[in-house]
Amino acid sequence: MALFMTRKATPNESDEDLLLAFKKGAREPFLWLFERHRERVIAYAWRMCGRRDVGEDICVEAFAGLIVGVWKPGPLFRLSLAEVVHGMCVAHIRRMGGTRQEAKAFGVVVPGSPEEAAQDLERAAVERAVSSMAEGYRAVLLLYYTMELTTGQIATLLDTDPTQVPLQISYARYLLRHALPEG
Amino acid sequence: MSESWLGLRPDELTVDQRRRLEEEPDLRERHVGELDLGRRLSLPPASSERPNVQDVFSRAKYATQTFSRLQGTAGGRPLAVSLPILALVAGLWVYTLIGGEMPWEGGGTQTPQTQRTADPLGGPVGVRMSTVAVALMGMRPLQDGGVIETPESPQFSVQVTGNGYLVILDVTDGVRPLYPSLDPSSWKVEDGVHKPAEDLRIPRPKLDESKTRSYRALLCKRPPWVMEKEMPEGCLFHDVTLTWR
Repeated sequence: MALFMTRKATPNESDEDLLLAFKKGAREPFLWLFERHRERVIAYAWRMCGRRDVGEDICVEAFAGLIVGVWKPGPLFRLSLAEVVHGMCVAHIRRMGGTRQEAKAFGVVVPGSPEEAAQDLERAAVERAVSSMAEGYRAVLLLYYTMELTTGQIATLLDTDPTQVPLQISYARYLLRHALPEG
Repeated sequence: MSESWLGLRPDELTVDQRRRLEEEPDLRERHVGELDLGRRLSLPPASSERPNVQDVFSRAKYATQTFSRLQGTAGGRPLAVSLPILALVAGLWVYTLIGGEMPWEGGGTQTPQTQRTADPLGGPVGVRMSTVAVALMGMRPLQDGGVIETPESPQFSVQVTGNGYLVILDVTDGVRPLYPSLDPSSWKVEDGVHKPAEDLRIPRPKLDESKTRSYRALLCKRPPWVMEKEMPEGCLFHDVTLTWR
């Protein structure tokens, strides 16, 4: 593809350095950025929206938007990416009529192969438990454990008091634990 | 829930909290249990080869072509995909040309002189700004007072009656020219619908700025000195207020 020139990049470079190199016209830094965040973004959007295909679409849209310039990252790439992905998820949930409809979708996801049946059952249980939570608690939990933002970054993204975020995470975990089947 | 820090990642714990974990086995056991519960969310639901970076490049290329076509330039894309978009765009433009209102046109604030009879000596007669929210997934109309979601950016089009020099400003706190950003004499317009250059990106408000912002299309007989506080003489304007989420 003639869209980008190639450039030597190492995975040790920070997101921000990779982004800078990408802005200068190199292609490889973008590949690293994408690979570094791809699964995290899909997992977050999947769990927020309740559908794998939506999660994958949002991942593609978010990174394509970065190339096209629909959104421009702030000083911290991971936070900006999380903000964009979270916004897309919320917009999708609103369009679909709220979390209840999304929750229903969880019942049909994760068919899994026979070899992965046990893992899939465990995974499906977690997905169902997450889906049963209110959107706000689901978001705060996934932003922390899936997107791996700090509590301070979550406070910035959700425009909330930083001291409240650990409390919200703690309570969200409590809800998750009680939504999971025993054992 | 007094120990709300239990289950947080080690790098988020204070020195005192780490010390307590070392000294109190029960607390450490609870912390590990909470952390493990959270970590069940850290793995992706399933591994998959898709989407890959090629999907992203294809999507970006498709979006670029869509934007190009919306701006009237050529591009190559499957006809089945192009037609609905072209039909929509063509429909909106035809609707505008025959005198109908654009479906996304909201209220806004206009100068009282707008939409009056034509000035026989030339100059501005009317100005009206419409807004759409553009995202990679498509576009949607934005009314005055509308909300721009995170992945979207607003795109303006200005319907002009008469002629003059057009500028688009952010007038939320002070006056900031958005387009043209430097030379207000560079956008001379006549009757019709006008859009800023394709590469104009309206900046998202910074964290310390108001998320509700007012944008103004200003049409003047002479190139306006946009930074002055008073409305320049012989100018008409139309304001639209948008809230960024």
